[in-house]
Amino acid sequence: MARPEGKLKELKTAELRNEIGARSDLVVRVNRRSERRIIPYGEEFLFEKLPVGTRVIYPPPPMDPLADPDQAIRYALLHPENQDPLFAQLSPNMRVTIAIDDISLPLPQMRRPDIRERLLNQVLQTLADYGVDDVHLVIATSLHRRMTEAEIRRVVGERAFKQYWPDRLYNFDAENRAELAMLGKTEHGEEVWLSRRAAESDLLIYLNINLVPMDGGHKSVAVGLAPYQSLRHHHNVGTLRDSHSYMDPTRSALHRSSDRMGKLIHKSVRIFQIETAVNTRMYGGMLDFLHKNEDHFSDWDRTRLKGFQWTLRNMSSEMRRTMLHNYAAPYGMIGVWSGDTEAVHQKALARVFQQYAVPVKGQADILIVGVPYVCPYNVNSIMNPVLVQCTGLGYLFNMYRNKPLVREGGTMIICHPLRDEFHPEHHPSYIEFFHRCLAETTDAVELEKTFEREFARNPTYIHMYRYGNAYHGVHPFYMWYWGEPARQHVGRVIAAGCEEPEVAARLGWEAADTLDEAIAMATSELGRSASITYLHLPPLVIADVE
Amino acid sequence: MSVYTHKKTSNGHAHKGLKANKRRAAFYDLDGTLVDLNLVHAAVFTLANVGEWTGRVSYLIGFAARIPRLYIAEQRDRRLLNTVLFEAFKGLSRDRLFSLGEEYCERILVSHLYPRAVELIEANREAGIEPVLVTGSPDFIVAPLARHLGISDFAANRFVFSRGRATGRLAEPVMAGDDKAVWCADYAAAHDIDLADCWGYADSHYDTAFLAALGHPVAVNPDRRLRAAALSRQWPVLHFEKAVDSAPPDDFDNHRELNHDAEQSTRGTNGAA
Repeated sequence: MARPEGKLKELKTAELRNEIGARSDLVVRVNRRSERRIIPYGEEFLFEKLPVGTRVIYPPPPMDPLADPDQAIRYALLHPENQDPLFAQLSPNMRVTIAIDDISLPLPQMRRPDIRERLLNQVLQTLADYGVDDVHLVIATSLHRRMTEAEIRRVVGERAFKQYWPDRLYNFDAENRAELAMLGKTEHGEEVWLSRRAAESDLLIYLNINLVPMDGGHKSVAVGLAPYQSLRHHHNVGTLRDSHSYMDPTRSALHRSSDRMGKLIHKSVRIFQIETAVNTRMYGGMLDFLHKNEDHFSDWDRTRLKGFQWTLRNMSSEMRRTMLHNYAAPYGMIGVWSGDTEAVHQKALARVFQQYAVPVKGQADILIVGVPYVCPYNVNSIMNPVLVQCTGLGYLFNMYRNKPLVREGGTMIICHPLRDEFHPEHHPSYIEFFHRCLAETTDAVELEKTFEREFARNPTYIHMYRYGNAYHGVHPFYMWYWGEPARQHVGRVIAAGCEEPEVAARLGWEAADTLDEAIAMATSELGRSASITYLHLPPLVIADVE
Repeated sequence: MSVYTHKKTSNGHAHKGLKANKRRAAFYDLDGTLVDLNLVHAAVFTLANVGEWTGRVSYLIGFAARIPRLYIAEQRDRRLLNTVLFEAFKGLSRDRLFSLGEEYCERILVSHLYPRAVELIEANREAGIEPVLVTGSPDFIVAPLARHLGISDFAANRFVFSRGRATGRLAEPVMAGDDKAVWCADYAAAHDIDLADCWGYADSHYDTAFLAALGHPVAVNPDRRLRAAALSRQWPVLHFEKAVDSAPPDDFDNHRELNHDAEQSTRGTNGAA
């Protein structure tokens, strides 16, 4: 959380720059002369006038990246938290498994070299120097889709790819029963399963990227290398309803559960965790205007915005999607730590909050968010309606600490065209979930009780997960549960700019043609004096709501 | 109807979940879906192995003469393709065809099964989804393969025989296009199965109607037009890859032996039993 104002005054200017709450220009009010605001709208960007008095919350500007990331990694490996340096833990003939965060992080994909490539190069070199040959690299996909060969190559880099692919560099397979090991049960009766290779290794090294505070910590291993049998203990309606929010691990039942599992894993597996944090430099070069406060736009910024909008509007959807997903963000690494999972994660969390948190006073009656073209589950794929729901209600609603940005019973306006569009190879079970399950009920408890197991054990979906590039059959359920805290909290959800009202209706939302219409619908119920907040993306922001 | 029922394997796999008491089936196309071969390959193999070499030459020349018609038929209608293709078999004896079918299955077909396809059939079966083959291939080839896979029911094309010899005509219904869908509906009705609970797997755009009739259609290694249909209709798309080792599995004979009795007892049963 932010320091008291008195304390802030004591800090030097250089220190103050990255201090939470030090910048007063991150929360602005719209007045009559204010410029329109950029709002992500699927694969396009809107430029819309917001009502006078609307509060706009901007993400903090990117912190300066580490001047020499490779040197910082080297230092972290030599000076770990509460553990011996990596080299001191190695001996020839030992069995080592390196688990790596999958394609869901960071978003969008980052420019090469990827942080994971940098980490891998140094870790593998250290292992080689100390004669460790039995090394496997596992992409910690959990129930996410398998990464393709090209995607893996891009993430791990040429050196590791050439040396290890495909025999010793592969995706985790949560449905290969022979490759899973049960480590026991937590005091809450949660079954803890893990990749057998990882469980039987003398040392498990986890390479992580923290984009938001939800990532990392015990969750990395306990979720990333775990099958459905483990995940069902925390990826369920009850646990997620008790998480306030996902971005605040101290108040998240999801994190408490994965922490319990992680501690149990630690009893039998030696884990050397390496966590990193990235800054908010999501767009650079010709697109850096997306980060700016629109009131400070120059003519050049407006021209670029118009050009960008025109280009996106006039491309075919396939070309537009390809172009957007091929964009690589110039993220900079702002921290790297290694060693004991909890100690490392505390340091990483502090840095992530320092980068992303913005103090905000009070909740709003109406919260406006724009859902962009990408979320963790549709990289190089289609943002289907279930994922729009997950991004809007699951992620963007949860971008808070302490209290949600919108008051209980308030209205959330989600800007997205909401098309009935699915990727048949990446999201096959989503199609049935949307057209069959949601047609029967949108009640998460009912869905969990009636359909979850059927989808989780469906042979075709399992087959497509194991041998194709499909998300696991149960994944759409998790996406739906992800939005459950928001559904419990808000009174109304309106999809602004919705092209297919029946899709919004299927999600239990109302549809509005335009943002103006959506705001009018919301204020007709809440009154014209209703307070409105717009959470400005990109990049990402976490609101510390007082 | 073009169905053979070997044996009603008792459905001992209770389907847990939403529809615990309902019977479910998975309908599989064969060529291009479960095996990486097509109908023409089977036809050429059969014609190249009939009788004396003079007979083989004459059949193969006859087949070659049909190639332009086959090409045109393939572009227009799968039913027409089947009709034109199987005309080439006119005059072959029933016994010879069935023994060649066994040989083709044993020597060629089994080694060209997609391993993942066989895995999926088994996984579906374990989940209580009974497999049924619905294919335009001739019954003398499909029957031994069905035995090999332990599949009791299948629909395949059948020749009309006269005095023990093939007339070159196919018995109705010809298993192609819409007729596959009709057959599935009849089969489901006869077995008290709701088509909405059934899965279908096929690779060709000619199977669009067949897939559309089922609750859970899956496009397998789809051709360009089926892929487009799958995208627009939001059908999952699945890819099977060829087996690395093309040697036939060792247990072919065992499978055949195990299912021999069943085949003897019910072979030739007509109608969706």
